[in-house]
Amino acid sequence: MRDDGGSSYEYGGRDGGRDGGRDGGRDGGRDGGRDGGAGRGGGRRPRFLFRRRRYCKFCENKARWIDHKDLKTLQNYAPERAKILPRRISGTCGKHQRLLMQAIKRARFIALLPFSSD
Amino acid sequence: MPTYETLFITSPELNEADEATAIEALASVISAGGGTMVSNDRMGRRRLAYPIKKFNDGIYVRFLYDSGTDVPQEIERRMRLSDRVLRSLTVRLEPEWAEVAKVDAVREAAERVAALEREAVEARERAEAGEVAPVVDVPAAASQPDIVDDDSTDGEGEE
Repeated sequence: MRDDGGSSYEYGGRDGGRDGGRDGGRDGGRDGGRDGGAGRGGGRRPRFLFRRRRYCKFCENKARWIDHKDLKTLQNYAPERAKILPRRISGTCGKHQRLLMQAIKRARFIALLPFSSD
Repeated sequence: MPTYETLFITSPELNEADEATAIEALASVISAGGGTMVSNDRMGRRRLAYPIKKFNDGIYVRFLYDSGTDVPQEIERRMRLSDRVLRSLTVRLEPEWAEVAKVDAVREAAERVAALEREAVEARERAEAGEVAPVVDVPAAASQPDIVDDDSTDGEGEE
């Protein structure tokens, strides 16, 4: 039952914190002991079954650069409060996260994207 | 020579002639400095993401050019001094990116010319057959009541 709650994943600082906290607690406690016996020999741990694997969308397209004028793409990585989406959420690789950060900051400077909203 | 891209926002209060001269003045810096303009693109009026100098919108212009290092310096200096330019951003494009950007710019320019030609042809056709225009309007007017009828019947069915 608790596993189902943990597998649904939404963007937000609170969710990230909650998820991490719960996993840590569980591994250390009750499930840590049980999974250690049954799971590690058999194969996959159940909590990863329903979470879609994150991947870098820029690597998929073999992006060599990220255009600061490409609002359609950039807006996906600066949602709601216009903060840059952390890569633990978006799954962007390190190389592309740096390019993305640069592009978003340039777009902000030229007033294509807001520095903050609300 | 490296390729630079300069994006700048001009004041929305300029009339067309002033705006054109302002853009032209900046573009001339490139040729004067021995650079070659690849694309001089007026991207049009856009809403700004946040107000700059109390303006809520501005006209975006994009220069793409090959030049030495002194040209972007001079352009930026002039834009800083000019009160017609609200904000500017100059970026030196990586060679690979520059190649693609140039090809895109040329293609877009060709498309724009083609669109203008198409419009001109259409305008000419319209002018030649002045009587055809009202005939085209009639089906459009006739189709509207149909849509209204559908909506009203649907609404009644649900109620």
